[in-house]
Amino acid sequence: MPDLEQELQALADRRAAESSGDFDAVLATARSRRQCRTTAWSAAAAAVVALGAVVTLVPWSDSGSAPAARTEGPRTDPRWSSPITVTPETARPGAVVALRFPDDNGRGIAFQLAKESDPSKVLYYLTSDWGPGREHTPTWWPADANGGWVDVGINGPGPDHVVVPDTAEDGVYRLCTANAAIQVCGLLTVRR
Amino acid sequence: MGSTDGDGLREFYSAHQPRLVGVIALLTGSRAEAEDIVQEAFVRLVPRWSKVSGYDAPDAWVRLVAVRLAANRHRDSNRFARVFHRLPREHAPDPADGYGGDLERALAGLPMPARQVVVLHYVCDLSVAQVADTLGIAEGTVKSRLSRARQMLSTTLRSEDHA
Repeated sequence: MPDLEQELQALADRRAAESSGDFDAVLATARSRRQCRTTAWSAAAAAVVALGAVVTLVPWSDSGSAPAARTEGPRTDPRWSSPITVTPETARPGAVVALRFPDDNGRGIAFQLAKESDPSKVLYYLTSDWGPGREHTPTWWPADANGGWVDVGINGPGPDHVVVPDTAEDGVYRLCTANAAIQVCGLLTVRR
Repeated sequence: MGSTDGDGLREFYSAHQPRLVGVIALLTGSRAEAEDIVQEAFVRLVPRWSKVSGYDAPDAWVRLVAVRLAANRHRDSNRFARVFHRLPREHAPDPADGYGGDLERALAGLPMPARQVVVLHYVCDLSVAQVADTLGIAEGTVKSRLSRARQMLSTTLRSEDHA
């Protein structure tokens, strides 16, 4: 449809000619957001330090009615403390799995995968299908390869779908949000 | 950001901002809203500029962000309109925005997914495969949306000719 193409191009050109931009405003906004983020992180770090100090300084009293906190056993297992439910829990490389979250969960489209035995070493990044009603293809790439994602805010219980990396070895993995304000995780077992 | 980086980004902004506003305006139906969205896309580019500037086509990155922001805003406004039934569901053209052409009206009548493929294919000169890759959908979906969009545009423009 050459006519349609030409007319659309002409419309875009007209709008482009009418547009006005302000590069300095872009820079100023980006800088102020960076400062806000730094301030928020500093406040969060201060809160964590303060909480740690309180926990350290105040002796634990067992005389109250609240049950004593358990410091061992299942509490170290992310299935007890982390709210991502992975379905199915065991999947083959290349399979798509569904991730479900608490209703009020806020997250992006990015997730990371690490071996449960070494959760600090991220092996893969995944992007989801953006949740229900979207038509994006889930992707993955090794953590040491180039890749990126768009900042998109997603809320609600999901399910968001991600694909198990083709090259993931068999084993138990910790699957976590990669760009959420509060990181949440779940367990995924890869088995061929 | 160093001054060289900043200069490079300023040049990039000057070179691509106007055209991107033109493209996004076809998605939103409003130049003012398009300027707002493009501004936001560039704000998101600033902290990533050192990485994105190394890409083969940094403009494709900003365009993708802007296209998705436009789609998100459209979805959010529709959701809002459904909650408050008195508001119109589709974008109401603003005459003060010079939004009066038949083609622009017909384009605004397309669902956002169809508008996206039309604009990316016909205005940004992306191939069907590139549109599919950009939007994260299948090539067949792009083809069917293009076909439906052409049909709807042609029907709308014909009926406006007769009216």
